[in-house]
Amino acid sequence: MQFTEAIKTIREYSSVDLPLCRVRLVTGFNPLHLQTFLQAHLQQRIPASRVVVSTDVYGDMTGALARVQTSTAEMCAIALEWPDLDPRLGFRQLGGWGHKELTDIVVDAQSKLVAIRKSLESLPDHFPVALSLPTLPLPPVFHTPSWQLSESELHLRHAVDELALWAAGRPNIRLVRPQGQEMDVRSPQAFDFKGELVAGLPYAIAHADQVARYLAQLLASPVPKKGLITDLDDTLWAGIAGEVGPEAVSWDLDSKTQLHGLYQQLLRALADQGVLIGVASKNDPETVEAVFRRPDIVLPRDRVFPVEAHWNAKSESVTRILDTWNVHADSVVFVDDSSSELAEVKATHREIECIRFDGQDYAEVHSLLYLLRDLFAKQTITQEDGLRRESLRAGSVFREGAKSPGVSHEDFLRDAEAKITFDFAAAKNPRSLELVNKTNQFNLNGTRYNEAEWHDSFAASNTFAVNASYRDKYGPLGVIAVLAGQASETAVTVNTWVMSCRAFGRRIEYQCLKAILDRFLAQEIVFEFSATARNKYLQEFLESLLGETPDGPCRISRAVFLDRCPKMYHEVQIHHE
Amino acid sequence: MKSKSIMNDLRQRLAQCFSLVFPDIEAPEVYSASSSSVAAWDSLAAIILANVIEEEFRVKLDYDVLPELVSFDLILNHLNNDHLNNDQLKSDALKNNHGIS
Repeated sequence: MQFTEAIKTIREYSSVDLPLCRVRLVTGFNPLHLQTFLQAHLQQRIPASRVVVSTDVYGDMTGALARVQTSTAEMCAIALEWPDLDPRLGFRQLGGWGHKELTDIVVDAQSKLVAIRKSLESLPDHFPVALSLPTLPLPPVFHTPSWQLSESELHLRHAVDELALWAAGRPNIRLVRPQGQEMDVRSPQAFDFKGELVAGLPYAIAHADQVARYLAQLLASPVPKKGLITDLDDTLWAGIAGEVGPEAVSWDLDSKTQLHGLYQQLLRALADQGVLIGVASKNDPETVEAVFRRPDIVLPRDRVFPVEAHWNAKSESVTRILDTWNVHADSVVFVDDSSSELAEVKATHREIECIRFDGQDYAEVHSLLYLLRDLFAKQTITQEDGLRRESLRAGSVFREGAKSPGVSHEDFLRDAEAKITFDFAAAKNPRSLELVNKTNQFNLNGTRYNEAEWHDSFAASNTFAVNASYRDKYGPLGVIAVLAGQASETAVTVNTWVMSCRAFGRRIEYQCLKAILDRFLAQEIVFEFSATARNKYLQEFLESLLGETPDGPCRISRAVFLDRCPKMYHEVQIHHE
Repeated sequence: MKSKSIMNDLRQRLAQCFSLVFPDIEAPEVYSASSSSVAAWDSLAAIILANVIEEEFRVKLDYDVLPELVSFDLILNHLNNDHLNNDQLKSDALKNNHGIS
């Protein structure tokens, strides 16, 4: 981003009436450029709020960190540099660079890092912190030549690494991953030596932009994609299976087709972290299954669902896969070696991200592997992530079973042996917020929360959050619904309600409402409903319940709900807070 | 004629830089703006203004000269005198390529 663009972005939002998102930037140096870029990058990532980045007195890292807790900030970005650990590790102080001072510098740095850790430790677990470790070169403080790594320097770096290792294990702290080693000492790209001495601005403009971008990405992470649809021939493997035969396609070093093996390996890893992997291939289904039966396949068949192998248009296959997964095209990536197939799919599914796999271009595939990791990156892998693929298979079986001749839907639901567990300690379960922030179709109003906002929304004693886990004889779905709001003596107000699309068609939504009516002995439920472009499923549900199309907040009495609620067959368990 | 056109172009582009950094200045006042007439023009704003001008005109304004560049006219003269030989600047001006618009 250019500096001018950053200022324009900030100006654009400066007079807009939006809720504020307050961010504290902590640095030991003049944060001018970093602050500007951070505000602009965050603003681009959080367009529903007006981002305000404030700073503290610079030059006092530990003091500034201690004051973060009492500030109004909802999140914090920290750019740590060597002089923050000891001023002699910078260029603005003349405290000595001799070998006699070195031991003292290392001891000082270690104790400063302990103080920083204590300040970070005192921040609440839900308070998001993005931390950038030193990015600028150390001064010529060591008696060894600049191309040699000295023991003293290693002591310094070890102390920083210890802080980093501790911080990476904290639920609320995210670390900027250094992009390569620190810039070369004499490179002007990162360090502005004159700027540091004349104005206390050590970051060159481009470097300030880069650090700000990483900090912003950590504080406002992009929503991960949910699924990947891959082609097979010359993509998942090298060769056309239908032409050379299932035994002759390859993905290994000996055949000089390792790129495809690496792609399979990455897809397997993604599948194991809960990413949905589907196949859209113009192929004979039996040939495809024969390749998947090979013992050396890296991406096993059971990690892939569904497989669309036929000779029809790939856009049709994608449509069916999206339908099976019940996810929107904008959550999905399509990978194919053919530009024309990519274009054909894109023409029908404009929001799908199409990426070409060019097995002849090593550099491009190398980049692709990292790109896919980034597109599907998650902070934590939950139990539900592991369940997703199996629950989709189960859902498919469920839907097929419900359509079986001679079996009514009512009979099917009755015989499903469904069990729902409601947990009223849901506010603290990270899966609850994750579900709230990624669910679209069954979402009461589309409101998204950051961790601090979510936590703060339960400050009052009459607030609640409950989630629902579901399983039936076809398998578990995990946590699939979250409701949150406030309860008064007579009514429950629901301001958050989401349900995973995997759970549709099981009457779980009715059981959710019954659970909160019973829990709070309420006579009425108030829904803080707001129509969004994507919450049609919830709109239709409310319409069926209320008998009219809701156009905003609406309510239903216990009596009317019970009258309109269909028969439910679930076994219900309640865990109270 | 060409040189007058280049000068006008520089003036307009510089005015746009000023408007971006000091949005509270009314359009006609931009051309007479100085650090004494614009309250927001402090040392940090001067650096921001310099960075914006650097990007717009693809020039480098050294920290050493910033204390002297305390008005619209002085900055315009500086760009004109010190950088008019810059081929890129001339080319941009002749193309009337307004980066900030």
